[in-house]
Amino acid sequence: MISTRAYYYDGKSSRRYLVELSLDAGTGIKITGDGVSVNYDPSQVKVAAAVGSQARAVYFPDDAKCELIDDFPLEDHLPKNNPVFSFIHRLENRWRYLVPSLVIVVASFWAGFEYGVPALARQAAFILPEETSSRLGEDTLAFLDKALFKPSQLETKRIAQLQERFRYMMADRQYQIEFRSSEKMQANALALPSGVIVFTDGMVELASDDEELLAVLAHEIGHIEERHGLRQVIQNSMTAVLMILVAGDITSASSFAATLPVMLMQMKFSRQFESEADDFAVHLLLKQGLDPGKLATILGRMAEQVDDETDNENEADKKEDSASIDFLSTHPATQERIAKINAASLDQ
Amino acid sequence: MKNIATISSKELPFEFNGTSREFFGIWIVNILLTVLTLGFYSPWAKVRTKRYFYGSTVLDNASFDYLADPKVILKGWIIVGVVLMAYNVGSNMLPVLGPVFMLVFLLLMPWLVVRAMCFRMRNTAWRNIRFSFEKDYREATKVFVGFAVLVPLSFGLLMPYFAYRKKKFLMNHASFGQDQFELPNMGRTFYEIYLVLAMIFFGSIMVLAFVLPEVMSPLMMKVNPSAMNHLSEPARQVMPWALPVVAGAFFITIVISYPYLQASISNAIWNNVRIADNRFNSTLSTWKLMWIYQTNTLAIMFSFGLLVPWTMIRLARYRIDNLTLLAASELEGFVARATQHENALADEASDVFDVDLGL
Repeated sequence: MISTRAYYYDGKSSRRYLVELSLDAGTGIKITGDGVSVNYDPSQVKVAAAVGSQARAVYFPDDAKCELIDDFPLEDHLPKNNPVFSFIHRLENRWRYLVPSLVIVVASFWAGFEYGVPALARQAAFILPEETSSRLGEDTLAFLDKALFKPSQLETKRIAQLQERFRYMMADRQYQIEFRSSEKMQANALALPSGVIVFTDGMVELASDDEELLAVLAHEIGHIEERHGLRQVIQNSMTAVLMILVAGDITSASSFAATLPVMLMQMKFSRQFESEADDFAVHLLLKQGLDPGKLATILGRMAEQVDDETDNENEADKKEDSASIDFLSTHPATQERIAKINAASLDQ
Repeated sequence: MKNIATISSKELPFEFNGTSREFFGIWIVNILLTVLTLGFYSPWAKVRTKRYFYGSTVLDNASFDYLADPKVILKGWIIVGVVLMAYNVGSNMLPVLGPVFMLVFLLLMPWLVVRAMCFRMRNTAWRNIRFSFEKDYREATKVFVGFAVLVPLSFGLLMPYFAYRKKKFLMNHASFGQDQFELPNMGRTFYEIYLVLAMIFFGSIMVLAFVLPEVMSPLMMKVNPSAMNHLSEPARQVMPWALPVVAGAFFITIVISYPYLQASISNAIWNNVRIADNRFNSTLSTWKLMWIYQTNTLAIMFSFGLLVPWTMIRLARYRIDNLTLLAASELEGFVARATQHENALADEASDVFDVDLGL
């Protein structure tokens, strides 16, 4: 027979009894002391799974409870009703298990964000009907016209000429090409999920020939055809769900803390979309017998224009910057993109 | 305003003895198993977390106990998942269903709140005596549907009263054993609390409106003088600052108001509630809570989430260490009620829909 000190609560009042809990193969569990004397059948008691270093508790069929005062190997003497949790409790309390656990958790989150989320979002985006994607950006142009854009200053003749060239590239695609001028946005082009592609006047002026603009158009078509708008929405909501999983019941005051990783992920996803659109453009341009190198040329010129604006920094510094803040930017480093495009066009 | 009961009372502090080191293990294993089981472990994870926090909260040498069965929570969690999916799919296919669902949800709200409270209270125990919650659906409907509709109609003037009625409802229907918690009428206190909140907001507008132009005007002139010169004289005074001033005031108010409401409402409630002649003393400070929240946020951001367990323990410790029971007599006399079982469905549902039950 072995015994240990315990507090006994009868479940009827909040009174605490200091008792001795003894286990015996013949008579079962016996609780004595402080005016208490009860016996229980070991097969009917419930041993609560251990949590941390908290006192172990045993629950009895008549709603009474014992809380052990000293360390006592309950599992060795009572029926193991939760072997899984004894194992989990061991995991939780030894660094040699926690370090691998941490590594697995970090690795699976990394893999989830790197491959799982993008792949699932891609699947979902292409399962959903086309109209889900196009409905996303319906009002965006109207909004941008109010907030950012002014009517294009280009000659009507020039616009018509470009529309004609673009129409040839688009073949049977039903996209709408718009030209706008903007003070804040210089040389730029953007694709809205609804199938509208906007060129800024700055973009048209920056291009040294129309083939460069066709290369930009191919890139923007890539964004639409790969449903990047919709995929972004899906990926962002999946990221949010995963964050809640980690954070558990984080209060709303700390929820700002969860927005930083989500933001970083969004930037990463956005860079992935840019390279995907580049790949798409290279293929499309090659198929139409155009030079994909033109995309690299215009990208390089866009980067130069940005560099000119941020003066008093020497060339070396700039290169270093564009590499080191890669994870903070929405577009991959231009040099990298150019190299990739050139490599892809040589491959063909 | 001490009365005779408190003078002869004994101070019994609530103590929190959980440690970040120990909880880190529970937390990381919880995430690991949740990931490996594709989410199905999460009820067990929730129960282990709660058991750790409840078990680390000690009053008069006895800790609290969380007794919920994870399988019951899992069941509720699956039902909630199915309903949410039905809602998502349904409202996408047939947009009319969206508002219908919302209306149904509003009407179900009192039931959900009551059920969630029953589940939570019933699964909380101290010295093997369980808490319980009275199923008063009538009063719940009055508070959670009636007032929820009246508040916007009163242009928010009823907001503090609504906040008070919610707390009163939750407190006055809770019992420990056979003894009921009793919260006296204190609508006035809530109005005072919200008045201070309004003063923080307007005060920060005043300060910002005064300070911002002084600091920013010369700067603006330097960066973009042409934009400034286009404006007429009064517009130049007001226009550029209106937005940053209001935004800044909102920011300050949000940063301060959350800990302020937490501290002042918790203090007000615990300092007034009684149970069988026992009273409480709560000494939370807005500034300390604000410090904890803000530094917790920074810690989580810069540790990529790894310090989440530390922040949870730190907050729990501060809150619990600032509560004291003023016991009228020895705490041996509480008597249990006949037992009954609740389902976890409502508990999970209110978790997902994020109803603030703030107890």
